[in-house]
Amino acid sequence: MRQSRSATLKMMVDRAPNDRQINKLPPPYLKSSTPYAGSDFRPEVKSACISNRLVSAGLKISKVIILGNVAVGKSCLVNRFCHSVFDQNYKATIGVDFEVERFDILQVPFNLQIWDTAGQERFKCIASSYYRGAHAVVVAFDLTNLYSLSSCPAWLEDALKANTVRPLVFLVGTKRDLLSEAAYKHVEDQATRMARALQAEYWCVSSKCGLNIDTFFQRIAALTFNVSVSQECREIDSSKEIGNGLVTLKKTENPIGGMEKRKRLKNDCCNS
Amino acid sequence: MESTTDKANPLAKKLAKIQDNQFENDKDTLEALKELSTFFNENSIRTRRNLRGEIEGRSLAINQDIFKAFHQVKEGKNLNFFVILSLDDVHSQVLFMNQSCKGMSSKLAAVKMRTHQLMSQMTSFQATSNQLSMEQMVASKMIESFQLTPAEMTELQSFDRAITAEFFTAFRKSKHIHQQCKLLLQSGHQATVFEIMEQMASFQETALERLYRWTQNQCRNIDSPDSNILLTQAISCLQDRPVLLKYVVDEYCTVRRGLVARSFLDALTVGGPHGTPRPIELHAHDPARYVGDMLAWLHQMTPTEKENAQALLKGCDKSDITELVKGALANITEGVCRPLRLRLEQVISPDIGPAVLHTLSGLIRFYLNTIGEVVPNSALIETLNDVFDQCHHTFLTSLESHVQRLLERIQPPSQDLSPSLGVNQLLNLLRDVLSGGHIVDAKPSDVSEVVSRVLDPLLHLIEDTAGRLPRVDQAAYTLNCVYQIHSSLSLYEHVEERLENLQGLMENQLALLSNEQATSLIHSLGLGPVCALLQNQGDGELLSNIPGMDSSSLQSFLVKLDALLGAPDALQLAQWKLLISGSHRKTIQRRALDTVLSIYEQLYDAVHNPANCYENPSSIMPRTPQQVRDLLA
Ligand SMILES: Nc1nc2c(ncn2[C@@H]2O[C@H](COP(=O)(O)OP(=O)(O)OP(=O)(O)O)[C@@H](O)[C@H]2O)c(=O)[nH]1
Ligand SMILES: [Mg+2]
Repeated sequence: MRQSRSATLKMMVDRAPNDRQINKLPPPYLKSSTPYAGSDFRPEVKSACISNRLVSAGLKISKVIILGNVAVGKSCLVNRFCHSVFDQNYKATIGVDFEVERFDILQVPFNLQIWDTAGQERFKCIASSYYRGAHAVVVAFDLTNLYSLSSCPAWLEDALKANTVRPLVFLVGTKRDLLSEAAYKHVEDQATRMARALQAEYWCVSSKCGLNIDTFFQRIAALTFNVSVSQECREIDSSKEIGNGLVTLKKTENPIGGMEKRKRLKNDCCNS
Repeated sequence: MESTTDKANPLAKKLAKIQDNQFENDKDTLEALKELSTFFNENSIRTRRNLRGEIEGRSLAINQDIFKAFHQVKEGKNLNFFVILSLDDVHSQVLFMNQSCKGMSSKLAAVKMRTHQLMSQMTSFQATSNQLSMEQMVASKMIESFQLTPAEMTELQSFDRAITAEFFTAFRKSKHIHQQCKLLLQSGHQATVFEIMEQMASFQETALERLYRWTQNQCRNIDSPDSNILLTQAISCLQDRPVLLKYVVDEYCTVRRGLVARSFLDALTVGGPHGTPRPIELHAHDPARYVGDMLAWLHQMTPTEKENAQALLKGCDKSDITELVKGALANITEGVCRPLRLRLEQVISPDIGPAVLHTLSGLIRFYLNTIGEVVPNSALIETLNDVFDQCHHTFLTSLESHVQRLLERIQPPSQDLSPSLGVNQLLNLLRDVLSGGHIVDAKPSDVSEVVSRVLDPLLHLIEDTAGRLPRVDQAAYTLNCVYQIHSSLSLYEHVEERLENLQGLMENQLALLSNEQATSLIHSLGLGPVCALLQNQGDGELLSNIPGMDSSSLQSFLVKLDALLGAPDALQLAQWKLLISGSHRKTIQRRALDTVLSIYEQLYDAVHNPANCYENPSSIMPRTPQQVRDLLA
């Protein structure tokens, strides 16, 4: 059964589009402003991908949530990336929106689920239910509105509270097109300081002209992939140590796959 | 000349001949000379003389020998070791041979006559054979294109094998043959073609059966259909038998349904891997959080399931895949309905209060829309609808009983005519309920329903309790209460109509109070008679002559007016001071003073009218109406 599956994976016909193919780890926006220093995928990740060790794992999924004050441009960011469109008119997000993007990372198919939450206070009770189980948190602020930057710690705190394992954290300034170079430098200074305080990786983007949008999401995808695959490798190894030949690892980090994994590893962890 | 001489001379001729002779080339001569040297040993005169005789003797002896030999041959004598037939024998044998040759030749002629027929038969056979081999070639070509190879047949029919790419090649071929048969039909050969078609149909039937079983089995053990290209192909093939396809999809859905339901329960009770995220039930004490997390989990599960179903069905090109996917999702999500309903129904109780219940119905409605877009017409949506109805109903009941309880606590109006405490409590309840439901864009009709359920009985009660008060007190109390209601309601959306309504109510009270205030002012200033006289002024009568309108009477009014100008509030009604809203107080005061001012204006005009013969009108009423207005403003 498992064998036939591995054979068929090699025969996969569908491939992600070219700009969604990642074979090298994209660098951070600023080398000086990231807690994720590695310049390449972890060796075990690379070898696992090459040797098809993950074949039984099926399609990988990571979940990223996007937070931040009202109208900082969260939905525009997502729409620019997923649909290559930009709308000047503000249309508030109701509760939460969803998009999914397919990547091939090191030739392994990978889905990035993007949950775009509403910044309006009254939706917080809905939005906060989506924080749990996030692999990456993007806290967005408006580069032309320093107040929105000052709200970022509170947003991040909410998101971290819902997770026991710290997700990857990104601090992203939006609407870069509205600032002159000099004005931007001034904001960047404050933003990178904030990023350091939040232990987040800093980015600046413009949804209007598309600046850094693709590289930003590629970076998120590659980093979450790196983390989840290397974790899977560790789990495969530990299941080997247990010496239980029947232990197989299943796929995704989504609610469902995650549950299954959790079950299989029950012996492994004691807090249930 | 010379040759003539040679011819003429025989000796010369002989000599030339001898000269020309080249013995070494003349074999006969050489032989003869050799023979000669065997017996001519001695070259002497005597031997030379005898030579001729000697040669002739020898020649004779040889001839005699030959003759003897021939004689022997003819007689057939046995000579030495040879059997030599006599010539006669030979002759007779040759004759015999000749005879048999002739016989044979005639026989041959006869045979030749007969084989000619055979030959022509042969040629015709050859032609037939050529044609046959041609036909055989055609037939084998035909078999090649209209029959499956044994390997292909096994591929299609052996149930114990795993499905491979070859299976699909064979399957496609059998379908292709079936198709081609239709073309073939146009060229006749009906019987054969029908036979082939029947054969192919039966192959396909078996193959589909086999494929069906395999696919069903795959679906039972599936991880992620995205990675299984054979499965995609299988599903695509099964489109030929919609029933089988349906069974397979059903099987897949059943498996996923169980899995999703199990994962849901795990998320509720166990949490994620390594306890991340924490189990949802940890928040069971916080109904909004608990319900929100459950519904959000369901919402977050749908994209993955949708993706998987799409991957599974992506080979279906004969029907609308979106409909198939929706159907599959509806099926898959059915498993969570029971645990979800159970928990939601448990949470939804009147005890948690109307505000929380309103939040819950807002949440449920939000997810009805959100999840409804992904899986419309599903059991899940039905469940959510039911639960929503129940929640809404419980909310209304709970709201009603809360309102009732608070209404009972409302005290009759106190001395200060301020809204009783209970009114505030009810308004707080309304505020809590409205802000709780505010999470989602509430429908205006819902908001006005909620507002009505709180305000209608409240307004009733206010009207009731105020009814026992004196008229002005009643107006002031009502105005105070309605004002309070209006200001707390004005923070919300979709209440415009109700606000207008309240505004109207306040306007009525304001009109009444302004009127009362004006009357009271006129009374205090002693303007009552002046008013009456001004209005009832007869023709030709001089105002200055009328008692009460003379300049000294007017003087007492003007003194009182000056006092009022010094302290405009002094003459206000007691109730006026008890109004909560400053702007209301201002309105009433302004309206009352306006009335007074208009009387002043009339009086001023009358006094300054020469026809009324007031002496020195500017000393009686030095202030113009405008000055008075400015002073009062
Ligand atoms: N010039 C410029 N305007 C932007 C950019 N990104 C967003 N905007 C504008 O910012 C406004 C808000 O954008 P949204 O993306 O809807 O904001 P949001 O963060 O999703 O808001 P909520 O959903 O209410 O939380 C819109 O009017 C956009 O046109 C940008 O890169 N450049
Ligand atoms: Mg938005």
